[in-house]
Amino acid sequence: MDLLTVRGVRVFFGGLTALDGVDMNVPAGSIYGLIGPNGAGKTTLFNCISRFQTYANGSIEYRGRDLSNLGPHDVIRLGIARTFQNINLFRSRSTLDNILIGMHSHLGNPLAAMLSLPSGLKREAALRERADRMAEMFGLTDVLDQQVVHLPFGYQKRVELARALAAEPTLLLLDEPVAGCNEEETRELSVIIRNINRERKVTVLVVEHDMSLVRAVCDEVTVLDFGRNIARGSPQEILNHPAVVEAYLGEAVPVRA
Amino acid sequence: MSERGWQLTLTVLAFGILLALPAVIPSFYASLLAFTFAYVIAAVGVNLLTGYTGLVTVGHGGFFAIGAYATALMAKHLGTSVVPGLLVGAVLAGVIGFGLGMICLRLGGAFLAIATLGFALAVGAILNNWPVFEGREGIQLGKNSVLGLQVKDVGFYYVVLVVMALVMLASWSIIRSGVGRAFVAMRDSERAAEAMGIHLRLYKTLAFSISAAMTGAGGALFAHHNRYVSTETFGDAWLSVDFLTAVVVGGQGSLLGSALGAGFVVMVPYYLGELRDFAYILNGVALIAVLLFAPEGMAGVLARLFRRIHRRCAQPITRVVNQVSVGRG
Amino acid sequence: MLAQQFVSGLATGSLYALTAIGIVLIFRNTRTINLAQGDFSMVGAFVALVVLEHSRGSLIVATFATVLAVTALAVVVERLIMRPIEGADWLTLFTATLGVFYILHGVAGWIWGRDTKSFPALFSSAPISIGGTLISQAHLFNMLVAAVVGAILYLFFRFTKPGIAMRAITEDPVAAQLMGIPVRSIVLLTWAVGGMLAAVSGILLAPLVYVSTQMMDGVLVKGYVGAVFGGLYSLPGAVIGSLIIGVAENLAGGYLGAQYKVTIAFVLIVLVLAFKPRGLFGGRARREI
Repeated sequence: MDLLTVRGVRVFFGGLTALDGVDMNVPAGSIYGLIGPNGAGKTTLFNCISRFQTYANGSIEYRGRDLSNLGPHDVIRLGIARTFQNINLFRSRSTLDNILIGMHSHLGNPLAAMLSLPSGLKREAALRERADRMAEMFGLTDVLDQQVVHLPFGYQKRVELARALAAEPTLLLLDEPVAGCNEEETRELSVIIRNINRERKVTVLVVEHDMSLVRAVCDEVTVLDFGRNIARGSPQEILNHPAVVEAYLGEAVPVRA
Repeated sequence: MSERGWQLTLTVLAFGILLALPAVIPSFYASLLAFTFAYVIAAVGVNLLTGYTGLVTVGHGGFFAIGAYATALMAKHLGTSVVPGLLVGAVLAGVIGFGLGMICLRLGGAFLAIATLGFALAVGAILNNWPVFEGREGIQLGKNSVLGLQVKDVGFYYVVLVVMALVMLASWSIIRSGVGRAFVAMRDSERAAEAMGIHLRLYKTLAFSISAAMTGAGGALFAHHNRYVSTETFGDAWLSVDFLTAVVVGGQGSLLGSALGAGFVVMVPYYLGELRDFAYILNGVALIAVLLFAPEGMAGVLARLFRRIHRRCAQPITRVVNQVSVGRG
Repeated sequence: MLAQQFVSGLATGSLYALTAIGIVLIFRNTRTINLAQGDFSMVGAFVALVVLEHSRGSLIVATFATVLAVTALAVVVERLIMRPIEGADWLTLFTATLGVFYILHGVAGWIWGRDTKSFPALFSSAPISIGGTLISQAHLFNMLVAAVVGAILYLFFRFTKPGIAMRAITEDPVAAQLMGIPVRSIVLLTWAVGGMLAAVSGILLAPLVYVSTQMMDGVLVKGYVGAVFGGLYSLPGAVIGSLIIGVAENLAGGYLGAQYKVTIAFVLIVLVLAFKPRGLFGGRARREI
């Protein structure tokens, strides 16, 4: 069954066509890759799915539900969580706070929370507990109280992931998760992503530039260029696909040995 | 004791002192403090919006005025007492704050500042020009009565003290909660906040309303304390600027900061009285000094000092323990 | 009648225009709203007054001395106060200029007292007639100066190399610096020019609003509003915005009653921002403030 269905999506920026009738089907339980050269439209599509971007034509359906009239703050309640390219943490906050904010959609009654009513306090305690477990899972327990802006880059990446997973999503959108990472960090993150997918049964959609990650974790990949589909298949298949090679030929092929 | 423990203890101690104070100080000091408490309440409201949610307001004098005039007009024409006046003032300010929040949704930084300033000046202009508000002549309020009892100066001190404590408690509760986290998330990154499910429109207007209601409450109490309102005080932007100064000098995002900042903003003109020019200069110097040398404000400086003392006190014990264990090994 | 109101409105607006230009100029290059812009003018007016007394009414000497003094003041402010906090957030920069505002108010009051003084008229009081409407020479000159200054700066930013380089600073100061643009020098220069504008504005306004520590308070706010109309980035927008406010004020005063004269500017700005969060003329995507 497909968790996410994208059909004929078009996005225009003034005179520029960013997406020109893009299709994509993400099967439930998979790790799906979305790749393409710079300017291909991957980020635009990504933003359409997470509703930060409006689309002119086409449809995006999640579990059969049309997303077009939802705002960016609505999708998490459907189970779609995302990370950001180059990390977008709440810099002045601690690791714990970042994870807790990630669980905002599970806050319950805001009034009860604000006034510290018993139900609110109970909910807060439950959230705390879940945050602790999340931190443990990502090896962040020692830095829970530290301001995230002081953490090393690798830790920040983990906080970003932990925060996205805190709301227990069914679809996790990862926006270039290994941007800026060295080989070891990339390997670590690959393992984490696979664990998330297998153990927590979370479908993952990865937008990535780095082929080594795509090869390591993705079950299936869609390739875009100039806002259109140019290939689809397993990482092995698309890497040898002539259209894909040609699309990337104009720039240094981002494959690491 | 842990840092949290000390925070709680010192807070309780401070309030204890404030409760006992009228017994040992002359009544005009108690009156001055009550005046200050009203400012503190307003500053707590401003701090919630500016220091915490990151939405800069140079217009909360408008809400202070709304609270003050609401209760003044009610007292004059309907003969109502403090409590209903306070509630109406706060609620009215909150509702208008909601409206202003809606208008200012997409504004940030300089644009938000001018919109809020515009709001305050518009309120001032309305107060000055519509006869019902009696402009510079002002409105006299009768004797204060709370819940049926006549309350005089010292009694009113306690009224304001209680409301201040409640407002601070509410602010603290909000900040510690998920709602408070949503506020600060919006400040740090609106995009990420939205991705987490934080509805910007809802939470921004919520922050505006709560903040406005608190400042309105301060205004209502201010009116009852002085038993007089006039556009001399409320007709321009100085109050709004005062509140912003209080928050910055006292410490953004800090309850203690609101208290210290409000105290500063009240005491400087009070003690420099005739020397208004020096009051201005002192205000300016304090602002700049804080921004250059102590951006976390007076509260931040005190917190750092406290932490250093706290660590120093804890040290001797660990040193002894280490020595003992080294000796054994 | 309407035409006269309109022209008088333009005249009023011209008082705010130079201040608005100064605010926009400094904001573009430094992300700072200079709340002290008005007080720079105020100090200039007082300096001019003092120099006039001692130079037996020589306007040229007074102008020269004033521009020098206020430019120096602006440079001092930039060096001592704004430079140390140069990378800080918007609120910090804003409240720093608020601090300067307070200090200047206090120092001016201390040195020159808080009475209102008069300033010799720069032009004859005979009004000029344009198409049936009357406008005073002073106001007309104000408008001309504002228009000319605005035009020069606009052309400078649009077509000259240094001007274009400065626009890079507005977009991304770090990148600009990496490209070799001397950001710090430009910031200093910006404040200096802002000071010069303020000095000129002070002298032009002094005969019209009289000299006192509060003389520029109203003008500052209206100038800020005018600048915001222009999206805080557009110099012509700032001038046009100021003129719009002047006209709105006059029309409101004339047709709705004097009590609305003051209110209208503020209601206007709140309304404009409600529908156009970047001002009337601000449209481009900007860096987040």
